[in-house]
Amino acid sequence: MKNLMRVIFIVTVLTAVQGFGCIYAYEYKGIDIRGFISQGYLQSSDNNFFAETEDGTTQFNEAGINFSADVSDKLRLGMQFLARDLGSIGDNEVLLDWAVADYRWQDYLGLRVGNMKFVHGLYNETRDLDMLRTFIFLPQSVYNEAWRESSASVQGVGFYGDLPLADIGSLNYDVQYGTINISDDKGAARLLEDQWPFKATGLTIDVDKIDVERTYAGSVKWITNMEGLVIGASTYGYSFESECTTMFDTSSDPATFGGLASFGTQLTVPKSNFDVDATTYTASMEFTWRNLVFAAEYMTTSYELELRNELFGAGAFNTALVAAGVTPSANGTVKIDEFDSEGYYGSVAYRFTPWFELGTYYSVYYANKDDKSGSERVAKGLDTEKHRAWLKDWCLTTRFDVTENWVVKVEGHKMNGAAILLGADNPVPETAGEERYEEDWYLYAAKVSYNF
Amino acid sequence: MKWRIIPVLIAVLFIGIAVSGPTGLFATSGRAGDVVVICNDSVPASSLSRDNIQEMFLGRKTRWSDGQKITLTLLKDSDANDVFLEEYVEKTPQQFRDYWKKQAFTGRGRIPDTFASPQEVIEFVKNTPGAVGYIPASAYESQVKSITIE
Repeated sequence: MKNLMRVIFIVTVLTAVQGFGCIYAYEYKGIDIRGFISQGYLQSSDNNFFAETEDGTTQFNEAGINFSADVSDKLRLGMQFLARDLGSIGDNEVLLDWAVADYRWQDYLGLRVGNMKFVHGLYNETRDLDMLRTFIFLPQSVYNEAWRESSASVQGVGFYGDLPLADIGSLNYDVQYGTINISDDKGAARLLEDQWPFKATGLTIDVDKIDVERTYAGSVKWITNMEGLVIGASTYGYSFESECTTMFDTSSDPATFGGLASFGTQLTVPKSNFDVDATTYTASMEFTWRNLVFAAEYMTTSYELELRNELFGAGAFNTALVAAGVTPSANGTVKIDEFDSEGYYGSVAYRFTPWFELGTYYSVYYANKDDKSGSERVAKGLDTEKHRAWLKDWCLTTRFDVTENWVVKVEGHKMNGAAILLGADNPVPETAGEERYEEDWYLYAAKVSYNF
Repeated sequence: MKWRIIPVLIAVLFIGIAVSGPTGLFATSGRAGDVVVICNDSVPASSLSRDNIQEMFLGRKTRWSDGQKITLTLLKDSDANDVFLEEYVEKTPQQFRDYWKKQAFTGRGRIPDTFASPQEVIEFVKNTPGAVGYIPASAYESQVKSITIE
């Protein structure tokens, strides 16, 4: 069924591209129809960046089609279908990206209900729209690819508006409340598995189900009276519960498991619950002067993690945890200390001609801002390499607007560190002593996109 | 080794910035005199500030003072279009196009109707209540209401 949906979707987008004269959006009885399709190629010198990039991959594409219409002077309806693929993320599954009833009562107050694009920072709403930005990959310090599908849209209700501020510009605001979808087999779940803190004890998890309890987001943009300067602040928060199949690797305890351990047998033990509560704050600045665009953003996220497994309540695991300074409750709940991640970047892009643009950014991300060196992370057994604690990315991009509808981009990244990379994409090396993640590596990307 | 090209590209970037600008080597638009902002007879305003024009053409102001919906009209790529966007909306044609594509592809708005010639803009504005557009001054012959920019 999913495959059929994919075929129908791709055929629809391609038919639209062919049939609509390839230049402008199509309008049918007052309904605007627009779409885009892109295909990319990724290659990395080391480390797999969300796909098998070390070998080079074309599993990097997006396609979308949307329909919208003004029902009355104040009410507009619209929806967009989207399919994307980045290695194991997306897998070209056709999703309802957004579907909104938008009632703009006054300029200062409008109401949206349905599935809305999630407001966060300057560019989160447009991260699927390659043709609207200079870079192929937005800075990962603020726009983590693993979270992209989870932070794409929020299902619920939102208020928005523009407030004039007399001589100092105007204020644009958005407030959203509802829920987000976090899939149990996509990037966010894989990130969660990487955060499991008891790998050193031989226990690993596989996320089966994620229930999101609540999500809220708020964004304010001050459009200053200084030409081209926009200053913004945004926040979002979510909490969810996940249920995880839990395995015990017998090879971690050969004294007890003897022969089983020598075969590396995995034993399934009682399920774990892994609950997450997160709050993010982002400060943003964008300055546009003619063809030059500067942008800078800072983001910090506070995480509270809580784990439950009946194994932790008593017995050998309880003893091991207590010895490690962690005291589980009687029902096996372990509250992990709160920690904050931190990310920031600065970017500059310049359009030399209507068809050529050059851009660069420097982006820094720390998984835990109180452990920037990664020492604690390694000591706790979360990882074996300290450079999993950060990712520093210097990016250089060239963008060519071949026509108004066709865009070609070529991009290079000089990376230091391996934070945000997924363990599922970077398996433990078979050769003893070989590093699982390289500290210094390069990522190259090329992408062609079309929109109408 | 592969990254030795980066300093060269960065140098190109800054040289480009230094020599470009409205009259520079990489200038992207020409100027062709003034534009006239026109509107439908039903529009209550006879003059607007530059800020009002910018807010309207970026979709932040959607109603006239009498509550009537503002219907925007754009002129396709032309010198008059470039001048209008740069002078009154403070965006390059590319930035303006991307701004409206963002609205359309994120469910926030509908891209205004765009016409190839000033005559088509005049016809649409004349016949659409609440409509506003712009044309080259040379194409204006008082057949449609004009708005004074304060």
